[in-house]
Amino acid sequence: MTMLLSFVALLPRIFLGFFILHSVWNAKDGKSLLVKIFLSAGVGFGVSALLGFLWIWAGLSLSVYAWLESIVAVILMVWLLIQNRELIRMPQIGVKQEFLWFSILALGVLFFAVNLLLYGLQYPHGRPDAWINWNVVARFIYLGGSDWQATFLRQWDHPDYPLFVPMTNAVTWVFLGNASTWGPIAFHFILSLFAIGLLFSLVNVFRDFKQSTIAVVLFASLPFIVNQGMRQYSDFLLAYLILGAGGLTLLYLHTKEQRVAVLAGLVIGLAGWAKNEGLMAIVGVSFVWALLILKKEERPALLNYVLGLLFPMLVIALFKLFLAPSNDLMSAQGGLADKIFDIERYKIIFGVAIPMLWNLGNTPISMIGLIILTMLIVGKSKNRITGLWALAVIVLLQLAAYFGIFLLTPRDLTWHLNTSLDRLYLHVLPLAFLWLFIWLKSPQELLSKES
Amino acid sequence: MTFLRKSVPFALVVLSLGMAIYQFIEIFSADERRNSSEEMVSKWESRIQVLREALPADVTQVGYVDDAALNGDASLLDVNEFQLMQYSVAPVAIDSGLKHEWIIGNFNEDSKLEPWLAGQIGEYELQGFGFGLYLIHDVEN
Repeated sequence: MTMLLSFVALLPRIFLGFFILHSVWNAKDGKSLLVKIFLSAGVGFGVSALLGFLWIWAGLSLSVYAWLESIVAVILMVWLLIQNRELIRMPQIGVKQEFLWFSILALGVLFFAVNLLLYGLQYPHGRPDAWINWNVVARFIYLGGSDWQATFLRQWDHPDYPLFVPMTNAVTWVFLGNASTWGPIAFHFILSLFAIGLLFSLVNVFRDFKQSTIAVVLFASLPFIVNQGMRQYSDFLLAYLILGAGGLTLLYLHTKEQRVAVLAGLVIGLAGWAKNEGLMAIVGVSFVWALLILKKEERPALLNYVLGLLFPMLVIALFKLFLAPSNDLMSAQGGLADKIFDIERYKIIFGVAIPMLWNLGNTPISMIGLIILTMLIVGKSKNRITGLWALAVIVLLQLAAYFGIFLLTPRDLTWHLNTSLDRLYLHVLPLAFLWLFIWLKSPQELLSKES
Repeated sequence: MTFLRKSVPFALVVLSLGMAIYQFIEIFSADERRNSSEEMVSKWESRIQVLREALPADVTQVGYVDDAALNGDASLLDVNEFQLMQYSVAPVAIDSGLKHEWIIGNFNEDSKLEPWLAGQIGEYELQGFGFGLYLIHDVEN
């Protein structure tokens, strides 16, 4: 019963996300609709976590917020469905024509879901960082009542981390009536499914059903992805939001739909509420949007992007300025010039980063090797997509920022690399997959006579 | 080459599904899954349950001492158990040291505990919960 309720408790926030997405960007074609459906978890949970935080910070009851938000979200969703019952259309996929590919997709998603669930049951409290940094905060918020800010007194961990995941789990626990491990399990399970759904829907916008299926089945089959999805950390959430923001940026560049710019700003803003590394992603994605200023006609899009970014950034700024203690990495900086000019540190970083990248995915054969081989054999698609460069720039800027962190870290460098680098790669992996499967020739192209 | 190129998507799909099945077998047969009560955090939580219930409801912060304090050697602090304890007693924040009215003690070796406590805080009340776990009430604080 608790298990079922944990999933049901998430539904109103997914509805809220869809309502926001559809209200801002009212495209009704099937492909756009799928993107909105799979983005709705990130937007719904994120906006809920921002509003919920402001609510409890004002000294109001979390329970009242949770119920009020859910009732409003359900009403809005019902109203939206009634308003659009004639217009909203799901994508038309000929199941009979695509039976083989449809079966492959179904099988891949089924194994992914089962593996996620089994992993979740194997570690019901998540892996160490889950109870050190994330679920412990959710307990302070849910169980602490008006004393929830005692969470900032915690020692030996990171009380400055933002509250996307803790607020989401705390709201779920209001409906469950206790701090059940099923709350976080359900949240991360749904998030993982929506992440692969988002990858599918974005590849599907620019390519086709078969190409989307390959992207998702390969991504979801990586042991690393199941493991990271159900660790109950914020890294997979961040990866999902970076994928969303990157995908929306590409959609904007492709369609010039101004409202998509607002959503790109909102989604990357939520990444900053998920994890401190999300703040770097905000810088990277904003840089890409700032490049648009070079063309005069693109300036309204930049303004719309900033408009979307504004609310999450405001809340993050308030949190960082008035509540969160200073970050241990930022406050312990010293001898920066020595570190920048220390060649040995560069050698250590590349010495760990390159083999880890090669072995990323925990697969029996190197995933990166396999991808390079695939790119060489299959080659680049002839159907050029405008703005695909933006995804590569976002990935590279994020990796460059992480390189800078390692270069300047006050911690033991090798230890820092070994304990966090794989998760940092994860942040850009879904977006890199999106780039790859748009860049690659699709099965349809390969089977056509011209290929 | 054309045949090879056209086969790549299918090869990727077969490989992916193979990995997913292998992963399923591996997770399904994991010891932690077959006996979830033996999972480390679940075991720790059930061990701490009685201590958590013994904490007064109005307390928001407590002290924490372990073998590091008892032996006067800060390097003996078990950070992992400190973090587990914080998770288990939340929303009570724990603070290393003896400066609070209520203090959690978590020791591997507790034979010197009582004389040490008397020397450190004077009058106190002690509740033991087994596994080296104690709730110390500093009655003079």
